[in-house]
Amino acid sequence: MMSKFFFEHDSLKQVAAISWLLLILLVVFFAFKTPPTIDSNIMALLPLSEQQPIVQKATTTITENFSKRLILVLSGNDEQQLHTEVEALANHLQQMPDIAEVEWKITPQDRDRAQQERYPYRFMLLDKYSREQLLSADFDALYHRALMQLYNPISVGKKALIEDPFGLSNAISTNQHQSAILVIDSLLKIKNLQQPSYLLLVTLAADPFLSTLQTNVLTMLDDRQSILTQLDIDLTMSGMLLHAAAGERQAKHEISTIGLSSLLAILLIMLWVFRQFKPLLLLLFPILIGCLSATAITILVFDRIHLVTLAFGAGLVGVSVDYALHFLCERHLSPAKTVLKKIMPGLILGLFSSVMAYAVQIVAPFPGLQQMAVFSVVGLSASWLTVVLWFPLLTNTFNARPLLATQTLDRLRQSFPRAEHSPLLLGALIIAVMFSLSILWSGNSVDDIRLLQTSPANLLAEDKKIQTALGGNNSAQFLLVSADDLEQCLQKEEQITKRLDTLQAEGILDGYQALSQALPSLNRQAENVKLVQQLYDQQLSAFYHHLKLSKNSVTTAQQHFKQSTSTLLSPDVWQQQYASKAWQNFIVPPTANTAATMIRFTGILNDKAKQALASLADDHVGILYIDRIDTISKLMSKYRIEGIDLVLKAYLCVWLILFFRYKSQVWRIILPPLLASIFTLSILMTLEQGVNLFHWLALILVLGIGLDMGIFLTETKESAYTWLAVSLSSLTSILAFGLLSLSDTPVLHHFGLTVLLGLIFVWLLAPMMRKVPT
Amino acid sequence: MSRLFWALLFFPVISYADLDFEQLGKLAKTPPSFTGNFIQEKYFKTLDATLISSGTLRYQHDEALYWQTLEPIQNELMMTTEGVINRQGQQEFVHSEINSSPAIKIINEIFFAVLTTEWQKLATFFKLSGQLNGQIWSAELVPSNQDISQFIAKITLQGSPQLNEIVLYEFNGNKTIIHFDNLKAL
Repeated sequence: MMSKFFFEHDSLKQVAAISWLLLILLVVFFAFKTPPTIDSNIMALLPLSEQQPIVQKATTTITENFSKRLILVLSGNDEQQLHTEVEALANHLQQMPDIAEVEWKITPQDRDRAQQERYPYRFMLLDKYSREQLLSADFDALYHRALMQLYNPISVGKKALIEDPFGLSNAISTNQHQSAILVIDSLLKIKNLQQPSYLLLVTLAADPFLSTLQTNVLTMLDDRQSILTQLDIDLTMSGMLLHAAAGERQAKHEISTIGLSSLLAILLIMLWVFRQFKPLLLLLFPILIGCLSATAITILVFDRIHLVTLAFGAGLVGVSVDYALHFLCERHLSPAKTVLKKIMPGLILGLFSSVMAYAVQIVAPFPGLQQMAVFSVVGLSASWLTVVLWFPLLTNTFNARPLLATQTLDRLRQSFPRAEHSPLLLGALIIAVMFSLSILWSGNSVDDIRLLQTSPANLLAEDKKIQTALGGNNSAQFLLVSADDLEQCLQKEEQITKRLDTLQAEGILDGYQALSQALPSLNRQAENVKLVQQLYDQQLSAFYHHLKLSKNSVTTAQQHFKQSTSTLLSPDVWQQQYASKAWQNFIVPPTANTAATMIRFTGILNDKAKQALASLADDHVGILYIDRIDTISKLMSKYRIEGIDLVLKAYLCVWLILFFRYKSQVWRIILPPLLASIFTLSILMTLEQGVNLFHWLALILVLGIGLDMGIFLTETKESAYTWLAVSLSSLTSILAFGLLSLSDTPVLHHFGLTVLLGLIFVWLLAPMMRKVPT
Repeated sequence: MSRLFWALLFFPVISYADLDFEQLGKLAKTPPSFTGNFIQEKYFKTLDATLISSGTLRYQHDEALYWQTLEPIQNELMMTTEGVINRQGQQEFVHSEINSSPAIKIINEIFFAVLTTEWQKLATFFKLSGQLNGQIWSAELVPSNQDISQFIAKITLQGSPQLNEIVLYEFNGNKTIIHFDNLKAL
């Protein structure tokens, strides 16, 4: 009743059409008020929700620190010039609001401060060597070390023979500075590089994926780099910022090359088919509205939009153009007023089945899939509504000339054999399906996140160079130690460091860093004090006797010891200290009743090391071995399986919906996309050494376009114009999307290739499944 | 008489000259590899005590400096530009990586430069002043570098023309005097 009223009242149609456009403009205005953030980080597509909250928090901490960090290395032959340029670069960076912090020098004052802060706790914070000697009661060794320090011609610095006769404070300082960095003239020189090289550690003020931040920081660095090159100084950089920028640059480049050329090809084909501009503009209109509203709503819902969503969304062009083409082609047969009435059942069914196929993705607990689902459902619905509301108005004066392409294409279609009546074709199809299924059965799946690496080789090489020089702190694997409070975490760390030391001694681990190395637990501190007391009892008199100091000195030294050991270094006090800043990355921000710390490793862990750490974690309550790469690869695998599940569910849903209308003929609509998907998968298996999640996602698109093809052909009783419409929509999708198979971004390549193959098969198979014309 | 008088009067003016690193380089050369004896006096200001030790040293060109204390304790330091290893008897018991402590690293470099009379290297760390009297010279090195001035006030050197004595004045008032004796080429 309503629809009848709507179809017959022009003024109502106009009001609805204009209101719809205004609504879109409003949504777009709100979404693009601030420049949108385009995410190219593949990790952002993957969920963390299944991990324990503390693991999630640790991972977030490590990821945030890692992603906001930018490492700069200046290398040259002229030390003095390098010093000047390091300072100049640091000053430039520090003035930028996009930079939170630049660490580029340690002044003597900083060092003094750290030493002074530590000095009162010299008996609690023993270095590893001293503690080991004390534990094995080898007091002689420490006695001799103290003497040796005194007689050593090159030992300088504090020798507080009363306050610290055994030089424990010096020993701690020496141990604290074990790193790849050497402080020269207060600057941070990298030890392991042949050419003099200095380090600047930059912390970004915000997410490296923010376009404005990327532009500001990289423009500034580019400017400096050109100045430095003239001075014969190399600037090497490493950081997520560079990868993010490279990803975005690559995507933009591909959009402007692949995207533009496919758009141009589509326009030329449409012009060739329709021989006038108006249909072309008409076709672009719903696509534009669809893409704009989908992007806007996605940004409003998710706060940002992922590159993969955009790429996936671009494929909507292929589906949404269906509605417009269908309308236009029908317009060649009927007047504007009646077109909609005639094609409405097909349009509704087409939209409903496609939306259902995409909407299934919303239920997947996977941020990437949810984003794509929202994008697709909104985009399709908006295109559809634009066709329904605007096309009857816009095509009123449409000069519907007969289209030459219609006849040509229809003749081609008629020449296709029909499976129903061609035993040869049927047999061939059955064999092809069996063969494909056997390939699928024995095929591989590739879930390794590293295969999706999108960064250019030169960036990865620079990363590697810097990581090697700095002794590369591994951010992919770590041990997570959790307990009720920090003190207990430290105690737990201390329980396992012995095993870690053994692994290091056996060469299984390159090295590790744990908070308890800088801040021993209160328990351990008290134990250390007891050990030093034994050293004093055993060796102090003899030591002073050797130095010919009076007996009073022994008493004075003992008193000093007693006073200095009355207060242990509590975690709270330590966290106020200057030196603790360097260790903040090892503490997970605490929740109400859980504290956690991370033990991190140097270099790349081999399988043996990973196994050893995993079993070490298994043996201790509250210690978890976290392997982010492995976790993500497992997730990828899990979601690939989920992806398969989604595709199957989408088919089932669509089959149910279509069954009510088409009954026993439903196979004519379902089989083309289904078989196309099977063939495509088996080819991908052979070409790409395995399929991943992104191949599966592309198959949903194949289903969407394949269904439209079947529904429209059935609804219009295989009108030649419908065949033209669905062929054009497949062709546009192949051009818009299939060309993505040329992309250097692996995700887009996987996606594009799948759509390319899938749609070619759908287009070939759909006519074969039709009824034989009577 | 008058000749002697004039000689005594003018000798300092004529023969004593301000020293620069280049002159010192020409005069005070040590052989590429050498051995010798040393006596070291370490003065600790807070205790007003001096520790005296003696022993031998051996420098192998481009390799290492062996600093063997024989009295009052027996101890050997093997110093290279890479690090310092301490030996007592057959046991190596402390490895102290030079670079782990900026102070030790710089002192090590200076010590090497002084003993091997690499004056150009010293010129990067110090300002030189001194006097030259025929074959006898004395030099004073004052740090021009912030990192060094933090713990070294100055270094004085004496030679005739081979190095005889180093005195290292620490910032905190401590002082190390090392006398060399019998330095011979290897």
